[in-house]
Amino acid sequence: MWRMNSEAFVDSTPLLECVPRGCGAVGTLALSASVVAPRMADAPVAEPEVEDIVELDVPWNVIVHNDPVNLMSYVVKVFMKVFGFPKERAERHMLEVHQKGRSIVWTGERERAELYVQQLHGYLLLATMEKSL
Amino acid sequence: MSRRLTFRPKDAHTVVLSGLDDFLSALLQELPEAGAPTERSESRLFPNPTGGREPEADADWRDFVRPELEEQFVWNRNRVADDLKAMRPTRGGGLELDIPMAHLPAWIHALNQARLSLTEQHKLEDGDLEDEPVAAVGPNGLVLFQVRFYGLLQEWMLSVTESL
Repeated sequence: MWRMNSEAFVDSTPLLECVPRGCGAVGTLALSASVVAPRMADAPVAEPEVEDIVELDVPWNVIVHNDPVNLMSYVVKVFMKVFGFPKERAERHMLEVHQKGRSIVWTGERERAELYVQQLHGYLLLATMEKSL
Repeated sequence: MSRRLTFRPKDAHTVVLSGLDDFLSALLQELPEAGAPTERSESRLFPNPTGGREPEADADWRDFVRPELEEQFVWNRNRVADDLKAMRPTRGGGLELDIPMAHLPAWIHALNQARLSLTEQHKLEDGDLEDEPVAAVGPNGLVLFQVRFYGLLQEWMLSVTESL
């Protein structure tokens, strides 16, 4: 048997009174929730926008596709310039594009992926972005 | 009389392209126009960012990003067109052209535009662009020669500049 003293909380509302027996688990759960987030008088409760949060968290891939026109040396320099890759890494991606037809050159948040694709299009590379799922 | 086409630094700020005959200089003068988008080449010069998977995002891209890219492409071609006005005859015959080092990124870009645009315009394929000798004979031969000539210049320019 135990009793919660309401004076400990701002709004002076008794949070839990449990007498004498039999309120075990339910009472404990209610108490812990209230203690973690004490109720503020008349405060609006903001509902979390779960869908928005999920959308922001989906990573996007930036993909460069092969084309027969862009010179290998040019593609390497573009990767170094846009992504700051060291030459070896830039060459590795270039060769992957050349041999496999495409290479994922970056993965991360959508806004930055769009910026990278815009830069790559500015250099006339055939680049797209897609969700990394 | 055949001339040797050369590309070399003139000083710390300038490179010089020399040994141009009338034919090569005519191809060079065509460069700004050759890179302009056409109905056939515009989908390659301005591809969709999601490849059609997200039509709304692609439409927004066309409205907001493409105009910026078009402006950038035109700027590069205009810079090349201005530089080409300085082409001059040499004593030994032929023509030469000074290009400021600072303009090389615009040249590299304009050469790429032209190569992509010509390739789309004339539906050239991978095999056409391989490193086999090509004669500038017939309509396709001429275009192939032009694309490769621009590619050679692009390689030379990439070899002397770190910046793009």
